[in-house]
Amino acid sequence: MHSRFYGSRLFDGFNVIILTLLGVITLYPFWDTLVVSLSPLDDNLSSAVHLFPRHFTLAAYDYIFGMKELWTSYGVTIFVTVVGTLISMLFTVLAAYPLSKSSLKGTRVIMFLFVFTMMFSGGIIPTYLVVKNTGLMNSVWALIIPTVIFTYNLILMRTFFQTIPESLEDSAKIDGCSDVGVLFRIVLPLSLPSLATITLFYAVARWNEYFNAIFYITDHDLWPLQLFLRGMLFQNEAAYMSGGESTFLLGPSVKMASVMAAALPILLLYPFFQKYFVKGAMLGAVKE
Amino acid sequence: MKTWKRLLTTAIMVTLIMSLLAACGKSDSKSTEAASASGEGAAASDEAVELTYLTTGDLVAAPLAKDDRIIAEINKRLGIKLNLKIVPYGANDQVIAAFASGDYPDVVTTSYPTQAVSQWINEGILVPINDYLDEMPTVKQKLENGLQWTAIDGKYYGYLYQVGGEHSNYTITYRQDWLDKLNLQLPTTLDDLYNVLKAFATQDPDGNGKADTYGLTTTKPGAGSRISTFDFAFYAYGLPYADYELDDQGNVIPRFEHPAFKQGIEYLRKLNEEKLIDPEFLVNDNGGKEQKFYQQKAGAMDDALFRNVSRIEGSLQAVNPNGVIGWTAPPVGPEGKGGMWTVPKGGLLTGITKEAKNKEKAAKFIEFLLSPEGRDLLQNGIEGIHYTKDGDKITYNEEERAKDGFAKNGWSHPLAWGNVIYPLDASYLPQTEPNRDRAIQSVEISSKTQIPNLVPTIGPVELKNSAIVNEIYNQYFLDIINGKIDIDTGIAELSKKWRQQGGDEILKEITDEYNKLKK
Amino acid sequence: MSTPENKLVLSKVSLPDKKVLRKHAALRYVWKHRYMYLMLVPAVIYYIIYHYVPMYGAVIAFKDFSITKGIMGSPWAGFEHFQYLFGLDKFWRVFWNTVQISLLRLVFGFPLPLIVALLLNEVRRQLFKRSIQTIIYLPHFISWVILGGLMVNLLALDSGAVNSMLHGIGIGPIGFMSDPTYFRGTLIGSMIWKEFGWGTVIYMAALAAVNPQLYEAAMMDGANRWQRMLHITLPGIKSTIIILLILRLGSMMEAGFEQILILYNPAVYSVSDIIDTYVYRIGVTEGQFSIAAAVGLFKSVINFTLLIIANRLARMTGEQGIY
Repeated sequence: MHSRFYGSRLFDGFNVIILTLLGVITLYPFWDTLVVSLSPLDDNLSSAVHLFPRHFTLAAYDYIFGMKELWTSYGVTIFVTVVGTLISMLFTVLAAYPLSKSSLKGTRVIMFLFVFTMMFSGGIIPTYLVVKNTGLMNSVWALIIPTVIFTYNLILMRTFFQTIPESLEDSAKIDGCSDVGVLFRIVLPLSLPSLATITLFYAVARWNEYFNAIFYITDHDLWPLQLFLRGMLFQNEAAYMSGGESTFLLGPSVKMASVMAAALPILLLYPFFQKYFVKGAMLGAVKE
Repeated sequence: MKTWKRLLTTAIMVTLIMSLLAACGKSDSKSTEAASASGEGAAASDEAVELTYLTTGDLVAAPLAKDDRIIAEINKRLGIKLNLKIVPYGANDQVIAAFASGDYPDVVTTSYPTQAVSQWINEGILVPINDYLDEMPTVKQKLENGLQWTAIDGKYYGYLYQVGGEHSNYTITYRQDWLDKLNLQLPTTLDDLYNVLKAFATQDPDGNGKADTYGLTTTKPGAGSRISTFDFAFYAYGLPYADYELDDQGNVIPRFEHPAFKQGIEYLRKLNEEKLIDPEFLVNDNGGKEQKFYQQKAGAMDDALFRNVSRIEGSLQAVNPNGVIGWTAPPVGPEGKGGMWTVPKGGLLTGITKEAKNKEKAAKFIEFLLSPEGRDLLQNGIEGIHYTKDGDKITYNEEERAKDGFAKNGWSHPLAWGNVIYPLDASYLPQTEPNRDRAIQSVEISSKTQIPNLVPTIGPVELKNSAIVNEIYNQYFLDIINGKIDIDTGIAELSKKWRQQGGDEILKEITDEYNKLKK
Repeated sequence: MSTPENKLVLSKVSLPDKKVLRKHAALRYVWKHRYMYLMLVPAVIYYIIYHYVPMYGAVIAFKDFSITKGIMGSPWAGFEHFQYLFGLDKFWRVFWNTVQISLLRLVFGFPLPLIVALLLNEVRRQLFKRSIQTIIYLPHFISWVILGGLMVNLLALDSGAVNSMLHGIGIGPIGFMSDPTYFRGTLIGSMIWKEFGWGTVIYMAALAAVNPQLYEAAMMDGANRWQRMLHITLPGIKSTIIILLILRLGSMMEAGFEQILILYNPAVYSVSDIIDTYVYRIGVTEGQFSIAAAVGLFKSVINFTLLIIANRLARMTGEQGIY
């Protein structure tokens, strides 16, 4: 009994050390980016590794937050993320639930047809034409509707639904719930961790999206945040080539401040979702 | 109760689906509304011709305001209603996809030459501008003085802007303060250069007591390009052309079959063997290269100067307050020849599509972008609003200029970037530039040593094969300077492989073109 | 309507009747589950409009695409584009690079998020667990452009932090970014560095769904932590692991285009050039829709085959699979 106790303790100790190490290694790039964004040019150029800001300055943030484009792109991206994620979740949940019932006829064929689209596509030209013909060109909806369901997320959602014991649903049906009622009253409340995960996946993907914007958006006011960021990252390079205006005196810190400005809002979302990953989220429901 | 519940859920379902459908419907009506609104606008002033201009633009340019006064002024002067579409940076793909889907603007600016543009021309999507040249005096003058080669069977499919075609600003930049410290002069010959790089690498120019400096650093080649930053060595040994060479019988041959190539690469191999070249230059992008220069790791680099003089020296001084940069013409070889910048074979093409309803107006618009009148408007703005003039002295009203997206310190309006001209080619420097004289001198030095091409064009075969044969060239170039292969064997193998895998086809095309030019 | 006479006639003419009956049965089945099918409608509409309507475009790989004639009107080219592709100097070499890099990513990259999720699951202090969870997912939000610049600084041959450390213990210097011997390690390592934390998110969600009563029961039976992990935790998230594995196998031809494009250079092409980077670099896909489609189709067929095999295997072992 004692040896097992010590063994367990020893494991805990190792575990903490390993995880801390992983934490340090993964924190580094983010930390370096943050430090550069807060340091003046001379500090940034004079060394390759940035552990602490030697001279603290917010000049880079002053600069980018003074740019109108940043704020318009925030607006676009926040809209696309919030509205897009909501619509995506609705579509995904509605489809994933019936597809999770292997007894329901036709679901396997439909699932196969959905999975097929992960592998094969018609390419950019016909897709461009469809987007154009459905009237989405140069509108924020072009950033949402053409990719409203990620098949990957749909598959995960369906897999999660499958882990819910049928017995719970059956008892709800006996109580007179319809299929839709079962989904919204029984299944969804039991699936908070997975709903949180898939929501997070959609939100992060929408936030980081720029591919559709490149193809379907020409109005500068509708450029999402990631296009703003790409602009800032490539700016020095382009300025060098073309001899345009360059923000060189802020140089690296402006780039890194842009990275921070583009990443921080979505990062803040995670701790919020995290509380749904707590063990026993199902417990209450099961006991009810 | 049960039925009521069921009804409710059905209703929710239906509303959900309806609302989803409505979401698509809404955006649909929105865009049609916008379209009809703009249509009305065009109809209201019945003289104004709507003109859609699609360009990849330039990242440096600020976004356009909705009520931009420069655009309004252009509309007024040309009697058009300009509908400007700027696709995001680096998104030439979007232009290509739009065209491939049958979505043509009236006027387009895009990279040239590319296989996509060739296709547009072959399929009649870009129309010749010859008929409108009388309306385009500035464009006509440029086309007929050095750009004749851009015509295909006598037809011009647009105005080609060659970045750095008329002037250049590219040479080797040195740490002048290091040279001074080591009592050395800016190197003018290959031998001087060797001595300078040797001293940079071995005599501890940064004074930190460690042998941690290199002589020369540079960047990795762009996707599909040849490693070209060391070409100065070949030109110094007398390689006459930048693209292809002629042998004694007058046959077109690749550069590595010319005797100057062997001499040049021997020289480079020596530099590399003695560790005078940054061993990881292939890892550098432009920023990485400059960083090594600022951080005392290398005393020389190839770089563009002109208006970058202030930027490079400013950055260097941020790290080393005593840092000074110096430059001179590329080093010359035994016969006094030398050079570094080569005339580009492409650039940005601005042309008119078959979609343009009023091609004359489209032509006038292109002319305007390039004309002195247009340059003045796009650089300075409207007199009295954006600037005031007192004799030759221009005073900018930065506040008003910022409203219309002009870049600071006298740089241009967003529409002036990335289509028909850049400041370098116009020798344009605003009066606010602090290193004006030095910047202009760097252009004089570099432009004098431009290396010409044997033929000015890139044909379809070369367009298709060049990246593949360039890979082979790069591989052998690296193997030879790294000492992995003997020079003669390396050149022989390179020659064989290069010719086999598309090189011979290219040579044939170049020969035909060359013979045509000779006549 | 259903007079006895009618019934008699119906039973006599047997073949169509069964059909009608079956049809009725099918309709009844659908009607019974109408809400289920109704829920599928939005997704089906979406897939039809944005995936199946444009699907005809895939034929472009077998055509000589002409803009003015459109995809359907363009002349057929047969397998010409595939032949061109397979005949390219380095095609098969970069194909094998793709396979090898992808396998390395699978072998080293796939298990790590699972292991870390299991380790995190054993942490009792919630604050520590949450902090680590948050920290390890941060690099997912730093793009390769930024990480690439950072890696050049960290891994530089002469003055990079890593080589300085290695020098301290008498190793190196190692050209992580420029030496073909090490470059694949750099690729795999940096991929894991960036993405393993993000990969744990899905497992954390799966772990949260494992019924805690099972743990309580196991504890009462005297099972130790290792046994609980082996007999409760792993089986509880097995289906998630298998689904992720199948999906991973279905994307074997994707070996990290963006990452490699940013990190590689001519010195390490021999070990790092994959199909995507190669065709991009030599420019055969730029504006050449037919060849680009041929490349895509080639990769898709391999991915799809692997996915089907993996799914079949999973179903043979009693798993649900992805379809």
